[in-house]
Amino acid sequence: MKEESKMVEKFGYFGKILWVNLSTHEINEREIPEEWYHQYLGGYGLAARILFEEIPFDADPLGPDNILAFMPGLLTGTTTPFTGRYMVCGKSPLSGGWGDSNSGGTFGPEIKRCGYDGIIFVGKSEKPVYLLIKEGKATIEDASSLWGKDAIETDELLRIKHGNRIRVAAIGMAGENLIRNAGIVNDKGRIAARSGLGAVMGSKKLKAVALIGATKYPYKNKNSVIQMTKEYKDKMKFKDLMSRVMMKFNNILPGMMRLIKMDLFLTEGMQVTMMSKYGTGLSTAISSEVGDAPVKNWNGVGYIDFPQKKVRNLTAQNLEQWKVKPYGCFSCPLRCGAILSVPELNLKETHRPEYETATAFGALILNDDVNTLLKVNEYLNRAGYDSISAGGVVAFAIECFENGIITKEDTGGLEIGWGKSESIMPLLEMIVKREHIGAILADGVKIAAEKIGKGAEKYAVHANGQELPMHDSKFGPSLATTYVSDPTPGRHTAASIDFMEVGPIGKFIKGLKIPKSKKHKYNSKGPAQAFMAKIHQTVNALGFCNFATWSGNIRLLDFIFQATGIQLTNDDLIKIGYRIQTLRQAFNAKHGAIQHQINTRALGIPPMEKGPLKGITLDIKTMVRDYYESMNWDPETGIPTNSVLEHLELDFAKTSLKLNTKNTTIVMLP
Amino acid sequence: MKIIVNLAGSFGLKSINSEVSIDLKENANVEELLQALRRLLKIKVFSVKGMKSNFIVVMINGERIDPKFAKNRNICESDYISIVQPIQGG
Repeated sequence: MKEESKMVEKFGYFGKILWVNLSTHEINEREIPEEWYHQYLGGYGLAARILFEEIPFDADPLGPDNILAFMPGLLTGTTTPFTGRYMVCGKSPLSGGWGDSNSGGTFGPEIKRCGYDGIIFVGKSEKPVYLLIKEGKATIEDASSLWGKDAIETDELLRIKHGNRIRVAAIGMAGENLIRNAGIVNDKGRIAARSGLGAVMGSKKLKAVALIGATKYPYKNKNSVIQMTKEYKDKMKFKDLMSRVMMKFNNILPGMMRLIKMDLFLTEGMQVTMMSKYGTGLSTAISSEVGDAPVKNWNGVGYIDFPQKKVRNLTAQNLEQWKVKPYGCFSCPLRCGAILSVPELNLKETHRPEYETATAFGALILNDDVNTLLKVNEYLNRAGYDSISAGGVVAFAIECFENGIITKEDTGGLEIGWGKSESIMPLLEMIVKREHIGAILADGVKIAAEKIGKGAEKYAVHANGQELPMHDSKFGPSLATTYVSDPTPGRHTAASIDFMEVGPIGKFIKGLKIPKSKKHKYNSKGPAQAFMAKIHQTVNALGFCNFATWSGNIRLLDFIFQATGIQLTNDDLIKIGYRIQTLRQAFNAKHGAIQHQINTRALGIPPMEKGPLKGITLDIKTMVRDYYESMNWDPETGIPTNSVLEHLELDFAKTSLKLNTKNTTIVMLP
Repeated sequence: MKIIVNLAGSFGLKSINSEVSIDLKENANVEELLQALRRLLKIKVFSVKGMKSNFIVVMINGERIDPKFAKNRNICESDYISIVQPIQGG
């Protein structure tokens, strides 16, 4: 009886992670304290708690002391809509600080099906290996025959060997060759692309993680979750239908919208309708026109340098001609992905390029050739190379070439330039193979500019070492704060309030009180930025996709309780997110990685003379200081204060920060 | 005068990423342009009301036109005109 009373039934998590030492080839299970799930949920929340203590402050990101964690969200594996995601975490070789990246598909739920809340790799193998979990047994397998294969081939070969049920996350040539922007590919085209964690995987000689699980998700109340999922999907279908009906009768729309105040309702419906059909590429043409998309390496103007007659070649609407079928990630009702077939390019089955890729290899480098875009997209998926960073690196190389900083001698005779579509694939191959100038560009624009010198840093558009995404911060000013001050710099998916300002994100969780801010009033944004940074961590740690927050209200607290038995309030959600974000920031403080570097083109210094962003200069100092103040971190350095660490039950971080930040140089804002 | 208008977005049930050519009188303004487009494409959000409700954004030479000035902003043949749906993301 005594023993039985001690047993606590776990719901929503397994209470253990798989711990794989690649140096010794030992595999163990580690128990996770019960309270950590309440404090950090899952995903990168749990990873932050583990990695903060386990990665030494002086660990080389590409050395054996770094740790690579594959962490599904707390709700991943349930039917809760939009929660099929997993996060890869480790020390980033781009920023030298906290690195994480997020991917959908079906791989995240498979980690749960193997009975684990995460898989963690430490050390470094001498030979190429892959981790196999099959029939409840984890083994380290020889991957010599897979080394040199691309990520999609690797997936296919492992399917042939272990059966089609297997789920694979693998690196391609980029990860093997330690390209610092390498990502990790699952489902033959979804990619945990950012933070350079594919290079970390390559440095460990870990080619793939291959999983076949049979464990059921330990629901507290499965029927309730399924019922709530059904209700949510029915609501989405209804919104979709209403949106179609109302768009059909758009003759009466504008007046009627104001009359019955259904604008938000329609926005959600349209989100469902249009994203389901076109995916993220829906906004490719629009973005370059209005100033959202950076043009010509952040120095051009859409209507002048890349007018609509060019950009429309790259839109999702144009890609429709090759669409074979749509697809969605696990548990996603939106299904924004699509498979294309392009026989003329010998692409029997290829993923539809996302907005980021279409812009990084469109407006950013002035390429208007859709065939090039399709080839690049397929190549980057196979190589396992982050398309955002790859576009940034190509843009940097072109601008250096145009200004005589690099020459044909450096490129092996290849002539590159704005809009020279035929040179893009050879340049990318040069980078991935580390040939000629590619050997330098493979380290990302920050390090490449330092190595090249001759003023090249002017053209290196990055924040703290990571190339910036395809959303110009002059268009969405809060993005600049996120780019420069989030623990993972240069991320458009990390907590910016500007997406909140344009979308119905505030409706996602009922009862949230979101601080007000004005887009270009730079001293109004701190509280809203801090609020978003907090809630965003929670949403990620649960395993949600960002698009969930644009798709209307979800009974979030009910889903969490019925799946896991953890009863939370909205205040708890905010506090948990606050804890996770502070711990990620503390990780950077410990590793001396709070840097505040950002290319001034992203700030409007000097301001643009034409176009929709004309005359805009961001007051980044005020925005970042206000954000830090609102987080109760040191307003100048961004180091979390002792009082906030205590408030968030992060006392264990205090000693570590005291030891490791006294000699740290914080790079201050420009 | 002949005006080229670039359209990008989903207007009503129509997803349009193309240009249309339209004949307008000399010195026509934005409101008149929208009226002509509305007649041609039969999409009612092409109106000043559509601008005000944020269904469409009209841009001329890269600058967003405030719906308040739709009547005052004259158009000439050399203008680069685009009408987009105001969405962001991806």
